[in-house]
Amino acid sequence: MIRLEQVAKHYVLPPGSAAGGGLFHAVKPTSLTIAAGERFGLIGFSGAGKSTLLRLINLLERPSSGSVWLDNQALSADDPAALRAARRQLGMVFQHFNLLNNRTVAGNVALPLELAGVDQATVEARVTEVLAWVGLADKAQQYPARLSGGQKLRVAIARALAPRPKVLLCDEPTSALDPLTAGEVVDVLRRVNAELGVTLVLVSHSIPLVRALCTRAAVMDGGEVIEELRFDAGEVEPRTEIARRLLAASGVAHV
Amino acid sequence: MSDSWTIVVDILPELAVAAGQTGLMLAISLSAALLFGGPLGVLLFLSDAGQPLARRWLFVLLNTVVNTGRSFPFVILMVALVPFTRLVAGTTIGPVAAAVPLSVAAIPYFARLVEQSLREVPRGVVEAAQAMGATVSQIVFKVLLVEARAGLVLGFTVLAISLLSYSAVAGVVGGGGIGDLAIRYGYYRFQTEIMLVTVALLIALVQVIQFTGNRLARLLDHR
Ligand SMILES: Nc1ncnc2c1ncn2[C@@H]1O[C@H](COP(=O)(O)OP(=O)(O)OP(=O)(O)O)[C@@H](O)[C@H]1O
Ligand SMILES: [Mg+2]
Repeated sequence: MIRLEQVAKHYVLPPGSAAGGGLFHAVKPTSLTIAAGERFGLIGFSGAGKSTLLRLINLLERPSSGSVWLDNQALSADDPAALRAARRQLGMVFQHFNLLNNRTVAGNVALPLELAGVDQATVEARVTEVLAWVGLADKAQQYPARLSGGQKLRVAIARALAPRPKVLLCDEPTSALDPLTAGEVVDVLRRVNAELGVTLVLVSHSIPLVRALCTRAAVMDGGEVIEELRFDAGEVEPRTEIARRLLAASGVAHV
Repeated sequence: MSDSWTIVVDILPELAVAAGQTGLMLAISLSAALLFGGPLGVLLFLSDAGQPLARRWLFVLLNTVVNTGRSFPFVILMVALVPFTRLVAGTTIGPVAAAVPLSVAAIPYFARLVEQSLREVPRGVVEAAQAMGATVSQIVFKVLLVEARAGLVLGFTVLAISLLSYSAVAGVVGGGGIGDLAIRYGYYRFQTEIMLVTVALLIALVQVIQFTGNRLARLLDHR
């Protein structure tokens, strides 16, 4: 479904910066395949390149080299119409939700449908349906500023799901939430995958979250995938020091 | 006291005409600002580095145009534009003629205010729209202008008040309007009462414009 072939992202550092110019490799050439319906995690310490890799999948970051494939179609910024169509298959949930403050909850969820040119009646029906699905039917006419963090996240999920994407890309979705609220969101995301068959790609440095949601995760460090962990095959046996430290940091090294 | 009263009452018809002229100057120049300055400001924002239409040459060009337009003191702009005003308005006196240099001053001013308001929209919100597959024009009309609308209204309010004060200057060289009245009677003829009445009217107008702008911005803002 999603295939990354030697994708890499570097930034050109300004000559006057501390590093004195040159290139900074946020993501080194990386290849990955994520199957349809899978729940895939990207974990690593801060600055490892997780968000950059996630954003390469929908080309919010343009690859410096390599290619991104969605259902055997290469994504390219050179074909804006095709890229827009592909992006509608790739819902995204951001760490800070990025809701529009001047649109109601319903207005936010309607936005991707309006952008796709869906007719008004269909938009309304779909918005009602998705909001009910995430348990926010009663908040439709509220503005985001009046919602709790957990509610905002559910709006963000509803908005991403409205156009019936095949994939949901989530960047640290629960990092701003308390554990209880985060737990509720985990349930929602699990249902997204189980009931709607949406492929999940989840970036997090929270091992418990990734364990709870994903069957498989790539461990990143220094812009590279250094190890792959499986959570569906009994005991997790990390090979690299980084993975051991990540697991230890969350106190589940010997589950 | 009764003398002063008569002077003020006698001037009222002329004051009404002057207020109408000021209104006309503002209406024309504010419309020009919306029509040309608005799109110019949006384009200025979009062409900057990291924005959806990032083009270095375009940004430098527009930025230079806006800065140049904004660097003329209004009096000088008015004088320098006399031939252009004659070409566009067919005359150089009267409120319509005065609206020409006012518009030329208003357009880059509003463009800069628009650009600044759009910068206030969090980057992530624009990225979210891009991730949904929005086109550039959809980003402008469905995201940027919606999220920045309170700031845009406040910017427009600032512009209206600046133009009210510019229009007084334009009035002195044949544009008419409230400022012109104040100078003609209050200054040249030493009729202090008229000066006071016109100044009071200008103060009241500024208050009303600012109050309306603030109220509207608050109504539109759900942050
Ligand atoms: N525009 C940019 N210019 C230069 N360097 C950048 C840019 N964007 C990101 N980086 C760098 O790339 C590296 C990877 O960033 P990224 O956001 O992908 O990390 P992350 O793993 O998501 O970290 P976190 O857990 O803190 O979110 C970081 O060192 C970051 O400073
Ligand atoms: Mg990150």
